[in-house]
Amino acid sequence: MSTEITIENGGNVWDGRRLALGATYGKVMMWFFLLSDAFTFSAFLTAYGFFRFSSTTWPSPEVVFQSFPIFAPHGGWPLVFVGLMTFILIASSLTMVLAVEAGHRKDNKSVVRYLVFTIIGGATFLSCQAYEWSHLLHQGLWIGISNNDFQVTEEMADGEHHGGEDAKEWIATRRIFYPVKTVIDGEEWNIGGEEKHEGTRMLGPDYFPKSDKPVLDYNGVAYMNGHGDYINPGDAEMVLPSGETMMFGKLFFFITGFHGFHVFSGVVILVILLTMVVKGMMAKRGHYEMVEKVGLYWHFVDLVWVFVFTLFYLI
Amino acid sequence: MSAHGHSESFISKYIFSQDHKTIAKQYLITGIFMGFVGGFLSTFFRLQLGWDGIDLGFLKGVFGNYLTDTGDAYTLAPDKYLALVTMHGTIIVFFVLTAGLSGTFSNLLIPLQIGARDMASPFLNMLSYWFFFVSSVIMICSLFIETGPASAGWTVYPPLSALPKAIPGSGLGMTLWLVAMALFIASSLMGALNYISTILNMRTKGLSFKKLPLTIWSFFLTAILGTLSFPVLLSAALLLIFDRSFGTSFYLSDIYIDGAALTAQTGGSPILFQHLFWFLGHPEVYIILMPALGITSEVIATNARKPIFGYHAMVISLLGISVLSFIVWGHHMFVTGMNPFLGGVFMIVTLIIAIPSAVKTFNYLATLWRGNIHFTNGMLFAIGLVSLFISGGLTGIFLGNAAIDIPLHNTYFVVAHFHIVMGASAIFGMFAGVYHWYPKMFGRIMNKKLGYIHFWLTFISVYCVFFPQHFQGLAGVPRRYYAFTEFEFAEVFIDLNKFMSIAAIIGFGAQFVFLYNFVTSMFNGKKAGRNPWKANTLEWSVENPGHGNWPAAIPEVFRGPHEYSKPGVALDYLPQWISDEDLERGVDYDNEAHDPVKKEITVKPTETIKEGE
Amino acid sequence: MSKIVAPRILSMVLGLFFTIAIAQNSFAQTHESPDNAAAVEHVDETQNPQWKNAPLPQDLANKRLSQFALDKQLDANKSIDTNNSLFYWLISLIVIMLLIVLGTAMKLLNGLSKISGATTKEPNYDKLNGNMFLAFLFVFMGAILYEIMIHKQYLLPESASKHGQSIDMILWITFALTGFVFVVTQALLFIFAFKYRQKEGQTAIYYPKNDKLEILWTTIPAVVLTLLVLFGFRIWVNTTITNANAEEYYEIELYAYQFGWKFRYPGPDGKLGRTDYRLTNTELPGGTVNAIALDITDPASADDIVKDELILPKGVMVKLRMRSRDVLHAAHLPHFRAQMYCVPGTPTQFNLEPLYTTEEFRSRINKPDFNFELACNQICGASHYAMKREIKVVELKDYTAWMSSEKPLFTSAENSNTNQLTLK
Repeated sequence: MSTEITIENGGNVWDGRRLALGATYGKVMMWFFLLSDAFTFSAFLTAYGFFRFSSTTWPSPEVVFQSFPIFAPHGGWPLVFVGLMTFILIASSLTMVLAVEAGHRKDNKSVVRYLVFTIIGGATFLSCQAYEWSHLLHQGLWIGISNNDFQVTEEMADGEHHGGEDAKEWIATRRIFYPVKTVIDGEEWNIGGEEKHEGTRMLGPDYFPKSDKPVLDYNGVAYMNGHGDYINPGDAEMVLPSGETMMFGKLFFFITGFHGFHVFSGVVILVILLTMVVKGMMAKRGHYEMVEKVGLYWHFVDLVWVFVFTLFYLI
Repeated sequence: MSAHGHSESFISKYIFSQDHKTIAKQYLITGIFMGFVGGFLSTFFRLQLGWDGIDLGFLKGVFGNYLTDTGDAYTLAPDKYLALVTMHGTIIVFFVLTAGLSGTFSNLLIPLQIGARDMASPFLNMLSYWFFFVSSVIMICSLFIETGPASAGWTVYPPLSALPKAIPGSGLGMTLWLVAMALFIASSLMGALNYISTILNMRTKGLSFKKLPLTIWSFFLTAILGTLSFPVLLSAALLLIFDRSFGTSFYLSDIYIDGAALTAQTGGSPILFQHLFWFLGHPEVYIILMPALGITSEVIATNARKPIFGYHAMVISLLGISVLSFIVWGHHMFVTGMNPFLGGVFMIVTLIIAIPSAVKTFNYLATLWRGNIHFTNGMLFAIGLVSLFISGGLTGIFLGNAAIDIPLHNTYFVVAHFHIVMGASAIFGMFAGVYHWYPKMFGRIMNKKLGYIHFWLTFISVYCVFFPQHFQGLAGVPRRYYAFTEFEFAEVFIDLNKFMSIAAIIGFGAQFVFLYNFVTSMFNGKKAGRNPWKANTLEWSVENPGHGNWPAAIPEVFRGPHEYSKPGVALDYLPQWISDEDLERGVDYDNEAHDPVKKEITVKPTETIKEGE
Repeated sequence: MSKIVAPRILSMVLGLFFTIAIAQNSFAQTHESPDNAAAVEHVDETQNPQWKNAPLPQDLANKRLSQFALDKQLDANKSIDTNNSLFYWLISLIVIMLLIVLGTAMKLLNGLSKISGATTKEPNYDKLNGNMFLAFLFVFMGAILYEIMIHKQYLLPESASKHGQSIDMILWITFALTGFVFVVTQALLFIFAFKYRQKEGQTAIYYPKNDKLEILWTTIPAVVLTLLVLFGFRIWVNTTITNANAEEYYEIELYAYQFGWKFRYPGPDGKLGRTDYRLTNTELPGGTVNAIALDITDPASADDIVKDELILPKGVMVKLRMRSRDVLHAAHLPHFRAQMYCVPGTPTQFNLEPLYTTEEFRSRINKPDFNFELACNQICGASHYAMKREIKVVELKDYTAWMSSEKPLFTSAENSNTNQLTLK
C-alpha cells in the first residue's frame, strides 16, 4: 500500500509535511537498515580486534595469503590476489554509481548495461573468495570441528551406533587436525605438503606413513595429510596449530563468510533488479529510485569489505 | 495507494492485516498472552522458593519434565528451576516489555498521533508482527521439549549456554531460544525501520518536531536505539550458534567438562560475549523504559489537566538517555575481571545517566502539582509508575557505583532493582497505555471498578514482592538460587520468601481481573465517544478510526499537545487540530456533533511526491 | 439481566454437580489406598527427631526429603488425598465459581435497587483513590520502617576485610542520600495525588515550564552524583588497582568447578605452579587425581597444597586468584565484601586484607557458631545454589605453620619432572 502525501517546500525542514531527511521513506529505511547492518559487522570486527590485539603472536597475512591462481598457485605473490579482489569489488561499485546516474537520466539501456557489469563484478568477487577459501582449506585452516561430537562418551557410543574400539575411531574421525609442525628428537620440523618456505626445515608430504584408520595421540586426536589420508605419527610429537592460528581461521571464515553472504544476496537482488529494469518497470514508474536503493546496499557491502580487508589483510 | 473501495477477505483484514491498528491489537494480544505465560513461570518457581521442596505434582500433566519424583513428592528439579528463571526473564523482557509494549503502542499511536493514513510500509509492518508471532511460538514450544528450555539465565552467558553437558537446557532448548531470538530481532528491526521513517516523513502539516507528543518522541528514540543495538545481539547470537554447532571457539577456552577437555575449542573468551550482549542489553532496558515513560507523560498530562511540565527538558532528557545508554554497558560487568580503569570509566558514565531520569521524575511531580487530577485507571497506573520508577531508579545509584557493586552484583539487590524498574514500572506503563487507549482500539471504556481493584492489588503486591528483596541482597543472598537452605546468611530469609511468594500469587491472580476486564469490556463496556478523556492529541480527533484513519482530509496541527487548562480558553483542554481561527469562531470542539476535523484543508501544495513501492 | 444471570446460574449448577460427582468418585477410594499403610510406617520414622539434625549431603539436592514433603505423608492419612492433583484443580474451580456467584449477586443487587427506585450513590472514586494514595504513603513508609526493624539483624555484620570498610561507608552514605530523596519524592507524589484530586470548582494552573527550576534540579543531582562518583572511584581504584599492586601478598587460588571449589596454596616456595586444563583428572605420581589440572613439569608445582577448605591469614594482603574448570562461576565472599568471576581460560584476581580471625569475629558479632562462607554467584548449572565452602581466617603465624606442615598435592619428588603429557 502506498500513501500519497503532499510535500511542501520551504520553512523548517523539521516541520510537518516535509521529508525530514530529504529522502523518501524507502530510502530512509534503507539507510537505517544499513546502519543496523553496520553495527552487526562492527560487532564482528570488534571481536576480531579483541582477539587480535590481546594475542602476542598472530598469523602474518603476507605469509598466509600469498598465492594467486594460475600464475603463483604455491605462493610468492603476497596479498596480490586479495588486492585484485578488492579492485574488482570497488570497480563494481563504480559501475553501480554509473547505473544510478543513468537512472537519473532515465537512460534504460545504460542502466541495464551498468547493472550487468556490476553483477559480473559481484559474481567474480564471489568466485575469487571461493578460490581463497578452498586454498586455505587445502592448507589445513578451517573453523574447527563440531563440538557436539566431542561429548560422546564411550558408553554412549556403545549404546547408540558404535561400540568399543569403533567408538574411539568414531570419535577420532571427528577430531582431526592437519599438522603443520612436528617435533622429532627435540627438533622442530615443518610439514609443508607441497609448499616450500625459505630457510625452514621441511618434511615432505609423505614423510609420515599413511594409515587406513585414524591413529590417536594423547589428546585423542588423529591427523590427516593434505590429500585426506590418515597418517600415523608414530613417536613424533605433533604440534597442533597454535591457538592464534586456529582463532584466525575461525574469525576469517566466519567474517568473510558473513560478508560473502551479503555479496551473494546483493548479487541476487541485482539480478532481480536487472529483470525489473529490462522489463521496463522502472520506466513505467517514472523514476529509478529502486536502482538507487539497491545501489546504497551495494556500496555498503563494498565499504564493509574495505574494513574487513584492512583488518584481516593489512593490520 | 489502494482506494477505499478495495475488497478485503477475512484473512487480509484480520490475520495478515496491513492496517497499523489491527497490527497493534495483534501485538497487544500476543503480548498479554506471553505476559501470562511469563507470570505463570514466575509463580511456578516462586512456589519452590517460598516452600522449599514443595510438592508440585498437580502440574505433572503439563510440566512433568520439570519435576523430579523424590518418592514422596514431585519437587521442582534444580536445573529446571534455572530453566524457569531463564524463560521467565526472556519472555517478559523481550516478548512482553519490548514487543508487547513498544510494538503495540508504536503501531497504534504513531500514524494516529502524527496524522498519517498508515505506516510508511504497511507490508513490512505486517511482516514484523508475524515474525514476532512465529518467534513467540518457537519460544513457547521450547518450554515443552524433553531436555527443557534454555537454562543459562536470560543473559545466556557461555560457556554454560554453549555446552549441553553443563546443563540439559543448553541443548535443543538453547538452539530453539537462539532461533526464536533471531526471528525476534528481525521483527524488531522491521518495526523500528517503519517507525523511524514514518515519524520522519509522514507528519501532517504543522506538526514540527517541537510539537510532537512525548509518546512519539519516545517511540522514535526507542526505534533508533533498537536499530543500533539489536544487531549486536544478533552478532553475539550468531557467534554463539557457531560455537555450539560448528566447532568454533569464540567464547570458549580451557574447558574440561564431563570427562573431556575441549582441546579443539579453545582460545576464545567468555567475556567477549558479555561485552556484545550488554551492548544490546543496556539500551534494551531503555528500549523498554522509554515508551513507558512517554505513555506516562501523555497520561499524566491528560488526566491532571495540565501541560507536562518542562516539555523541552523532557525531550532533552530522552535524548540524553538515548545517547548515554550506548556507553554504559560495562556496569553489568564490573566484577568480571575487566580492567579496573575501564570499570571506573563505565561507573562515571553510569552515574551521569541517572541525571536525565531524575529530571524526568521531578517533571512528573511538577506536572501533578496544582493540577486537577482525574483518577482514571490509566492515571492510577501512571502514578504507580512514577512511584516505582523513583524506588527502582534510586537503587540503580547503588549499583552504578562500582565499589558498591562488588558485594551487590548478582545478588537479590540487583533482582529487586531491575524488577521494580522494568518488571513493575514498565509494565505499569503498559497497563496505563492499555486503559488509556482502549477506547481508541475497541471503542469502549474498560470497567472502572475492576480497574481500581487491578491497580491496587498489583501495586501493593509488587512492592510486597520486590521491596524486601533489597534486604536479601544487602545480606549477600545470590540470585538464581534454587533454595536458600545451604548458606547461613541466606537461611534467615526462608520465612520472608513465603511472604513474597504469597504476595506474588496474589499479584498474579490480580492480573486475571485485568484479563477479565479486557475481554468483557470489548463487548459489554460502556461505549466511548470520540474523545472520552478530553485529550489534545490527534488520535482523539476521530471516532473509530477505520482504514486510512480519517474519513476526509488529515487534520492540520496548530499547537503543541499539552494545551490543558490554558488561560483564556473556556474548556480545560485545547486539541492540537483546533486553529486560532476556530477558537475565535467559537467552534464547540467538545461536542462531537460539530466535528471540525471534517473540514477541508485549503493550503495548496507546491510539490507532490508519491511515496511508492 | 436474564442474559447475564441465567447462563451463569446454569453453569454454576452444572459445575457443582460435576464437582460433587467427581469428588465422590475419586476421593472415595483414598481410604482403601495401600499407600496409607506405607504412610503409617513413615509416620513412625518421622517421630524420631534425629533426622532433623542430620546434615544433608551436598549432592542429594534432587532427592531431599524436606519438611514439607514429609508433612505431606502425614496428610496422606487423612481422607482427602492432597497429593492428588485433581484436588487442586477442583479447589480452583470452586474458587472461580464462588467469584462468579459474588459478581452475579452484586449485579443482581444493583439491578434490584435500580428497579426499586432507590438511588445508590456511587462513591466518589476520585476521593476514594486520593485517600487511598495518602493512606498508601503512610502504610508504605511504615512498612519500610517495620521491615528495617525486623530485617536489620539479618544484614551483613561489619566488614571482615579492610577495603570492605570503605565500601560499607560509601554504601551507607549512598543509602542516606537516596533515602532522603526517596522519602521526599514519594511523599510529594502521594500528597500531590491526594491534594490535587479532582474537586468541584478546582482548575489546574497552566504552568508549562520553568527553566530555572529545571537547571536547579539538574545541577543538584549532578553535583551530588559527582561527589558520589569521585568517592566511589577512589574506593574502586583502591580496592582493585592499588590492592592488586601490593608488593607483599599471600596468593591463594580458588578453583571453581561444577559444583564445588578446590583451593590451592602455594606452599613454602610462595609460588603457584602452572596449570594446563588438558591434565584435568589425570593421575598424578603418587596416585592422586589431578583435580585442579596442575602441570607438574613446573618446579613451582612441587609444593602446592590443595584443600577443600579456604584458609586465609589475618592482617596481610591476600591475593585470591580465581579460575574455573568448566563454565563461568563467581567467588562471592559477602562478609569480606569481595566478589569476582571465575572464568575458564582467564585467571582473575581479587585482593583483600582480612581484619579478624574467625574466632575474633565470632566474639565481635556475638555468634559462637558463626563461620565465614564462600558462595558461587554466577549461574553455573543445577547445583549452583549449593556450592558452599567454609572460610577460616587464622593468625598469620598459624597460617604459615599450617602451610609448612601440610602435604602437597603430589608426593613423588623424583618423578616431578616426568612429562605427564605423554600419557597414551
